[in-house]
Amino acid sequence: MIRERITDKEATCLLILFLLGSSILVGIGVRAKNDAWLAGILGVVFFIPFALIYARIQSIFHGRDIFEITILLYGKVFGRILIIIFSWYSFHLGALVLRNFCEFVHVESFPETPLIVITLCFITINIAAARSGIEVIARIATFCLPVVIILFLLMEILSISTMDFNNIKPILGNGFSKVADVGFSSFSFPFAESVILLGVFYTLKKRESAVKVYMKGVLAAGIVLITLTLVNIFVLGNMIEDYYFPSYASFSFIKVGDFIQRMEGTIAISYVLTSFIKSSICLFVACKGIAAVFNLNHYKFIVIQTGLIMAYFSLILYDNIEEMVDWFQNIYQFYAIPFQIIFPLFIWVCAEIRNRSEKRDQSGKGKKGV
Amino acid sequence: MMTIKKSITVLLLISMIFTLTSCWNYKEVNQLNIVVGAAIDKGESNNYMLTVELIHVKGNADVNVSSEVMSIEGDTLLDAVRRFNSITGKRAYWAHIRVVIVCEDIASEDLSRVLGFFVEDAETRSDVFIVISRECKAKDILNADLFMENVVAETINRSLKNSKVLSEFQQASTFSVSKELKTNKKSVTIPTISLLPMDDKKATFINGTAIFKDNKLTAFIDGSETKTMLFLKNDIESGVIVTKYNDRNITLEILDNTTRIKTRIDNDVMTVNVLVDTQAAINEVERDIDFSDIDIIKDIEKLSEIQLVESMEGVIDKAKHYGTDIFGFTQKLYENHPKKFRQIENLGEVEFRNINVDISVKVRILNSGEVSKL
Amino acid sequence: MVIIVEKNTKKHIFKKAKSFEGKTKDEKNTNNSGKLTKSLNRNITIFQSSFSNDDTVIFRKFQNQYSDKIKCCIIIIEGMTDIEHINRRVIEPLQNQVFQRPKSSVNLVDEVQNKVLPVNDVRQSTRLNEMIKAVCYGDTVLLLDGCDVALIISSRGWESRPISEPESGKVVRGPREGFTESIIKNVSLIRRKIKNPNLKFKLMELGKQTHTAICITYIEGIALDSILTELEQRLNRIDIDGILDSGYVQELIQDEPLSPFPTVGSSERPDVVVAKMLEGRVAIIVDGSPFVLTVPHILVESIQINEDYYNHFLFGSFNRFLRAASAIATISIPAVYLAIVTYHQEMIPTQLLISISASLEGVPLPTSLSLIIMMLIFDILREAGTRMPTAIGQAVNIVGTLVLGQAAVDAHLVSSPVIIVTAISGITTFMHPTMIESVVILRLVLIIAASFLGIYGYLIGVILILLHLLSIRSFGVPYMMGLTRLEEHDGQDSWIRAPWWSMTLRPKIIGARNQIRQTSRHNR
Repeated sequence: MIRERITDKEATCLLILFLLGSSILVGIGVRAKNDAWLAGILGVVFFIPFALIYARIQSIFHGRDIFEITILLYGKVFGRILIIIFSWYSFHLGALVLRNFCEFVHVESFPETPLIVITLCFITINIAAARSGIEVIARIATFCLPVVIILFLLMEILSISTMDFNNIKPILGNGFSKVADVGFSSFSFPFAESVILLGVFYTLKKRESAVKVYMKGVLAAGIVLITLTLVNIFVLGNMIEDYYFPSYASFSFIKVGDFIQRMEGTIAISYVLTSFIKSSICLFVACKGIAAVFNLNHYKFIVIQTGLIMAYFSLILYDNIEEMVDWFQNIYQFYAIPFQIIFPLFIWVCAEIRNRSEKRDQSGKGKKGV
Repeated sequence: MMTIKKSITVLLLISMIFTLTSCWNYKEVNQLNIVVGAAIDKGESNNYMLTVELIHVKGNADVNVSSEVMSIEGDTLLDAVRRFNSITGKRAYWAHIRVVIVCEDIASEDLSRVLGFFVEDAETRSDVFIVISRECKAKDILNADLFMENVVAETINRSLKNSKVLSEFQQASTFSVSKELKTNKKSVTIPTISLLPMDDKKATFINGTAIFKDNKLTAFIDGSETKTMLFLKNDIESGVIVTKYNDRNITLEILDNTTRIKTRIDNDVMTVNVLVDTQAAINEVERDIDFSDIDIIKDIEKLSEIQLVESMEGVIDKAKHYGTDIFGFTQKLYENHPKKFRQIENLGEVEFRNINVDISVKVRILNSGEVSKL
Repeated sequence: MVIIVEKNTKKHIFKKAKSFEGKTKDEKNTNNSGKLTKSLNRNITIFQSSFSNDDTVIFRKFQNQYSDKIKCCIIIIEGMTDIEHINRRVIEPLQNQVFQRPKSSVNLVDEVQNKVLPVNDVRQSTRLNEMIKAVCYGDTVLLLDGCDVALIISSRGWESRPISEPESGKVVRGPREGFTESIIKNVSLIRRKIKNPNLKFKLMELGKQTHTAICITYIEGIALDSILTELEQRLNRIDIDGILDSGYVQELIQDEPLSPFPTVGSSERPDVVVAKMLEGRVAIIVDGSPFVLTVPHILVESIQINEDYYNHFLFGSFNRFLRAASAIATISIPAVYLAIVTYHQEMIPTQLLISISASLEGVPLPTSLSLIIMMLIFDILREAGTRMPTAIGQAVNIVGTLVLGQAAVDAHLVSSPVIIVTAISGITTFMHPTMIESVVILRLVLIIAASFLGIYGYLIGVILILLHLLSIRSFGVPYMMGLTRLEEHDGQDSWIRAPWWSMTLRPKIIGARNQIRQTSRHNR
């Protein structure tokens, strides 16, 4: 099997689209109302140290995926337990993203179509993508990113006429504590979800590229998300928290003359592309994890099965959309702590210790040699 | 054998794709009844009486558009909406609705109940124009006689779009109304529509504004008061001011207007400074006045300023009387001084009555039409 | 049409064509030992038994007018041979020249070869198989009495089409010559453009029955060895009885035989093939086909047309952009129309919705079905039009436009927007003729996808197509190369055609062996 490789640029595109996936759909920090953009900025700021940790793990063990690293650090038994935890998170996140998107399609476009049909249709492309491998996903990401960004820019420019810039006032009207609270939730969704990409970035070409990719990707995605949040606030004002899908709602006000209106259907293209990339990566990483747990030769044998289970799991996650929104806004950030904070810290600390001692050994040997 | 089996499986799968899917949300355009306008009245036996105006398309090559109006009752709006199916046989399609007319009675009970359907349903767009029918049933508006148009809702839609020309009514959409309802620091204002008799026909006529307190209709103001309100809201672009100079009517056409609102909270006293700066042109004069004389222009400016201030004070007094902040001053105060505002709010003293409003108006006449002497 | 007789110059290169092992086996149909005898008459009988029931084979016996002992026989096949050449250069000297019969028979052959025949390509042969094959190729076998060695004289010459402007890929600006069915001419057309010893031709023979000559052409120092070896491996793997057109080879060496996208390019124009060879590609010329294959073939090449490079770069880029846009439009427009009209009516402006609604009045077929049917009818018309002679083709067009355009709408069989959509989609198909095969299929797939999940179905279809495109390779080169990564020089010749002075590098990967196209940009 030829080793897969992705360039820094592809990796950055992948990371940006991953972070945008489903967060552009449900919006970040909407609970902070017109301070949501501040919460977004806080989320990025909170996340930067963690991004450095993730990147550090990847650059210490350049060329190895997170599963090899875990087994290397914690041995076969405890390492496997950690892998199971990590793969579960990836699997669960993939199902969440899938559900999120399918719920969007179900609510906004196809209320009469059963959710299962939509989910099965979308899992097909995820399975196809995960089977083609990370190289193909990365290349399709470079293809999609310009489309997504151009669409957003276009929509944001067109919706200037519907904006009311007074909506942003009063800044910090509900106090800083509320913003900080929501900022934490925007840390865990979407930024810290990029822990999943540890299962992907083993394909990077250079040792130092992980840091670059993480920093660039997070900042770029942060800018896109915060701009989008600002647009939502300018257009929707205090109604922002009433919508399940705020950006979709705010773009629905666009009118160019009498002819071009109801442009929000176009923005659905961006939702499809970003959600597709995100859930495909989750499926890919989950399959890799399962393959690592059971010592399979190749993850490709289990993609279809895992994908179908993921689709089914996404269907039984919630009973209705309110439950979904509630989960995303109130529970998710706590649920994600072990996967986003504890697990990488575990790996990182152990990796640093090991790295130090190895270096000492090497330098010691070097001295003896001299 | 394997290949035969395989091909049969594939064929079956493909035929299943065609037969089992592809129907849920598939709808042909000609099977839809396009709704362009809706009117909501109180029902006789049920809660609501919903009247819709449907587009009726005839002809294949030469499209002939006309409209049909029909009413039905229901306990809720959605209930009524679905009942239309059994009358027309086609599904009502709400995505292209232009205007919603709510009758006085419903508006004075609770507006938010009606709005819910339009804002929440995925099919209806949330930025539909909304008007309140005054002194007649909402249903009658849709049944009004047509002038130069063949769809009533389209007529109303166009006049609302051109509201800036006259400035005697404003625009209000279901979205903006529900947004204002939610802030509860600003009273909702919705334009009113009534029937204007013309010979033996009846035309729709939009003029004036309905004022809401919380979500109940409390008062109406007429066209000129609406214009004054729009001055205070910095929402005026054109329109006319009629002043009297030496018993002669002079019409000033507004060219541009900026209203700046400055807020101040000192020792729990809330003050709003309104600075109106209007640029106008003299447009219509009853008898000859020499406009080359600068003093006369100055006088006219003065007179119109005084007149504007008086009318503004009148409208503010009226609004204070009803306790409705239709100008959004409270909201402005909150936006600019959130902390102090909170303190006062906690004391329970935020009342529109307690807000001091200072008005200063500046009218500048830029030109006098095409000739200097009339 | 002017028919010329091809001269037999340079034909010696075909002698070098190595026949593949195993392929000569079935030629051992003769029941003799495969060796000649010393008797001329017996030798002739051997040949006659080999060519039994073939009346086109001519056995011409004659002798020298000065020496009765020198008896000869030439064996040729009518129509394959340049008769005039044989008459003048073989029969005439043998009949009229004075020469002595040497002592031994072997010397007679040498004498004839060295002193008598004024022909540049003569060789001796003792193997019967070789001779029979030579006769089949159009060469002449000269048998001499008393010798068990025969002479094979190159005399191939059959009638072939002159070089003319090809029917496909017409240009306004640019060379007008095109390849012909003759491999010789095709080779010379390429050689005329690259006058360089680095231009290499490797000959092969394919087809167990047809023995079709094929020629691998490349520029040494530019073409990648990995591509060459891969190509040779794939060609060696071919085991087929006959090759009648380069299309056979194309399909047999494809990377993705099931993919609707071609991974082997073909062109009828020498300038196109040479331009591709200059970028590092390898060309395959197949005898009997005016279409020369090039590998690797990637997606960008479908929108690159030779005229782009001959016109002003702005105009070239604009045309390139139009082609790219119409490639997307042609597969998307029917599907997007279907999705919007049947699922997302809220996106249509009210006025348009009303007129669409009016046009659908009384139409019994659902939009999806009528769109599929119209697309199929369009494809039928296209197919019928291409096969018909021009005069009948026009009649087809008239019937097509009248019946489908006006009558179908008047009869309420289909709605007029469907006709418009079909027409737009159909016209844009012709913007890139090399893609027609894939476009026709993808369009239908996307229509079906859109008919059951609206715009989302369409997007799913597009993503699946993209995934497929991104995962396939042509001879190791990613199929979408140049379209995804727009770094430095990669994007210069994909979405746009950059000016020549700025294209200093060959495309990555394909031209990896020698990237430099221009050393400096001074000629700017």
